[in-house]
Amino acid sequence: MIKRFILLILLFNSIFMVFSADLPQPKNNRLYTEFVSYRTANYLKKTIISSGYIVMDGKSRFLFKQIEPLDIEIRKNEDKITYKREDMEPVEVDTVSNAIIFIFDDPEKLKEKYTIEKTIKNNVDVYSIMPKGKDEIKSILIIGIEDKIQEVMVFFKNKTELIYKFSNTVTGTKPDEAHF
Amino acid sequence: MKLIFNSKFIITLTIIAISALLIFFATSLIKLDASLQSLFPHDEKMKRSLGLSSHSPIADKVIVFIEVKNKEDLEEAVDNVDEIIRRSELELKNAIPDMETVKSILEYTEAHSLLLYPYEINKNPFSKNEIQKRINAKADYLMSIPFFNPGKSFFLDPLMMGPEVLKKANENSRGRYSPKYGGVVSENGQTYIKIFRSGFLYEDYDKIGLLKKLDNEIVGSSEESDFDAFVYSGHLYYLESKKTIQREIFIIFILSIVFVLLIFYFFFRRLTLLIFSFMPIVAGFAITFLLIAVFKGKYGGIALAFGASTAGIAIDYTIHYLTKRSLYPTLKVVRKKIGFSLILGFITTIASFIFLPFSNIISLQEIALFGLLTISFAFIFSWFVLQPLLPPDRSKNDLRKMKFPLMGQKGFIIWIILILITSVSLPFLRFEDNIFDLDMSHKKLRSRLEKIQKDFSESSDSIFLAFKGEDKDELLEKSLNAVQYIDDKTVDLPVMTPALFIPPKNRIESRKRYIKENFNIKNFINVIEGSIFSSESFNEWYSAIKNIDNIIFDDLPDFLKEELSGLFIDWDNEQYLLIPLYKRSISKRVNKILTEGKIEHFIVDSLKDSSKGLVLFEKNALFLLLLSIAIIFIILIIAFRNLIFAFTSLLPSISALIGCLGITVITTGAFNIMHLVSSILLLGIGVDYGIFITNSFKDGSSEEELNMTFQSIFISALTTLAGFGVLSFSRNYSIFSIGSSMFIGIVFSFITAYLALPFILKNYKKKYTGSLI
Repeated sequence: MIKRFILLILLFNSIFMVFSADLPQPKNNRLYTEFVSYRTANYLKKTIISSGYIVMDGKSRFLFKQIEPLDIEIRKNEDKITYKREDMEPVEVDTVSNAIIFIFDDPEKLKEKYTIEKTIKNNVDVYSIMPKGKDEIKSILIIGIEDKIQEVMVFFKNKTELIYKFSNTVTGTKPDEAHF
Repeated sequence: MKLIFNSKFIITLTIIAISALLIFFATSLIKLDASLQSLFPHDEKMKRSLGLSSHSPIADKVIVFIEVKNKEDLEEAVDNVDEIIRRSELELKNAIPDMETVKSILEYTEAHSLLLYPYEINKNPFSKNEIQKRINAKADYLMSIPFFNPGKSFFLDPLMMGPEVLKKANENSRGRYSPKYGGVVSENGQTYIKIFRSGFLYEDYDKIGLLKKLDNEIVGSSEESDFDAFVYSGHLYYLESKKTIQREIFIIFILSIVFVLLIFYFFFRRLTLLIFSFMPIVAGFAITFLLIAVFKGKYGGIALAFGASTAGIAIDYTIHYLTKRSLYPTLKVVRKKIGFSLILGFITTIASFIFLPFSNIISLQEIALFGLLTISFAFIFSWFVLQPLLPPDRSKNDLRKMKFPLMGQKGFIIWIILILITSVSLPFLRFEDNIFDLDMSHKKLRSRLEKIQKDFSESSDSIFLAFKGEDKDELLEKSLNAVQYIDDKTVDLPVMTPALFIPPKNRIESRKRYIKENFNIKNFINVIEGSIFSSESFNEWYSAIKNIDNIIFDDLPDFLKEELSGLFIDWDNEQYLLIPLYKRSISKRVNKILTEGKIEHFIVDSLKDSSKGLVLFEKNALFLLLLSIAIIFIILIIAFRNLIFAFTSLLPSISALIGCLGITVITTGAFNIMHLVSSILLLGIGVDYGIFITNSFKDGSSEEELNMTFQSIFISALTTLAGFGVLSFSRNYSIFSIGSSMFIGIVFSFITAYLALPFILKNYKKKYTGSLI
């Protein structure tokens, strides 16, 4: 019980990674992609590596599934968002406050808080995202080609870095139900 | 035309018109108090209970309840209701923290975990095994949220002591710190409550009106959308009681006057006579209302409802005069014949009120004042204005005459049987020990409370675990002591204390000592080395331990500051801490555990605290009543200089009291303060009947005079019944009590005056004077 509601509180305050109207949207809002993430911070002895996948079938159906090192699911169905860790029962998270779901949701909300600049380097789109006001994030860099994102790098003011590398990305096609 | 220009009629109409204006003006100035608190006897425990409850943290609480058929529909229902609340003119403050606030509370507990953690009752967190377990949990915590970027407070609590404190606070406050949709959701996910602080108390009827409007909108919207939702608060009880009393006072007043006048017209048959007779009552009311408006300003609704029915008593003086004047040629002769009875009757009626001002109960004092003023001024107007305006005039005698044949022994036996049957119920009489039973039955609000309490522990009952102390620190120490003792004795009795977030000074010092004695840096470093955390991660925490003697607490988050400060009350120059317990079953268990453990505390429960005092008062009041009977008996002995005449004058009153107590057993079952008021009134009214009949027999009245005496008493009884009978239809139990008991009492008085007194007096006269009537 303690962990559930503490996790809820922290989920509320989680950093979010976003796409926007100016960022590449998966074709038809359909997506399957695998990720490996690297969390580096001065409070950690070594980088924490996690892996999993993201699957999306329309704006109201989304799953972020981490497989290693812990089994975590953040699931969005219509307006309901749930968080599940390992064997615990899924807990519902407040829609309004969980910015994680802005990932494939509301581009306009991203623009309210961030400025986005796009450049092209070596035929690759590079998006530089800077917070408008006071934020724990220093900057975000997103690298992609067309509607496929290859890498997301988040730099925090406290020198923590969070890097997501995506692979085996498929967009535009209805993903296998088994992934959900 | 002749009538219009009749000066007497003009004078009478003028007096009535001026009186009506005065009543209108005065009632607009009088502030109505519909609360029950004016019925509470003032003993110290009750006074403290009421005083503390009225300042309590739940005095202004408002609960919004929602129930849906399917839990998937709950969020939409909450949004629907939230929108209505946002549109409302009321500024309701959410007493349940939102997620941002809970986060700030978590950060506070993490940042101060070293001194908030209750080492005195919990496991030692500094043992090697515990440190290992806790650091693993910390790592797990970090890894569980993919995008989590921990703040400063995270690193001030490597051993996860802060979340443990918050968890305890959450349990003890019944889930207040794990909100969902801004409120608390039940386990089955289908019911939900939101708790607000309204910022206003029970007497702010303007704001309560807005609250009722909000309730109506929420109920209406929920019915349209097929879910159940409503507002629940103590304010709505007051509003419902006030509206009911206001409506009923108005109806009672009108009905009372109409019935009295109809009865009057039936017997006297002249409209002009009706208007003349109306004048002393209206004038009496006018002066009474004016004096109250000028000197008091605020008056109880219950006292005013009673006041409306004194029309039935006040008209008695007019009835007796108008009935008997037809027998005599001049005003002087009338006054000679019935003046003694009228004045003695007035004195004994007033005398019955004499002890009410000493009752120490506001309502009774107000009833006494209203009764004394109205009846006195009505008598004065009747004697000095009406009688000269309407001297005897045998040519204009339209009085409808009734025959009252003497029933003799048969009547006496019927009376005896009636008294005996009624007396059988008297041993079953008990004293009312629940002051709230004098209010109306709030069925709808009670059923709402039952719905809420099915899944939640909230209520509007003022039940608290209380502590008294010299200062806040002492209160915190006492409450923490009590709560930890309860936790030690049982697991399912959550009781919150602000000391969980603001430890008292002694505890802070003892915890500092504990840390110094038990924390071993080597154990900690060894565990950190084997964890995912770098060795410098928790340096700030470790520095805090090294510098433990100089640690001070930061300010509480605003939400906590406001919530917790509301629990401390400064009342009557003493400091108190009140912790809501919500249910009597909980307070009983808490009280038992703490009393057995000899832990200093007390329970504040307005209902229970009034109970003993109420019963004691009622018993003392019965003694006062007996004293009143004795005083009146003495007045009668002095007046008649004869024990038997004094006894017969008093007998209708005694029978009335038997009838009053008998109906108490049948209706409410418990003798309450309002029955006491009735008893006192019946004492004064019944003795009037007794005086008139006794005097008639004593003076050797003719058959016609005796018949007229019975008729005047009969008409008086009818008007009094009309005045009080309407009170029996009230939904307010205190008004119902006075109405029903007065009704039966008057019936018994008349029956005694008609059936018993003639038999007793006839036989007394026959035996001791040899003459027959």
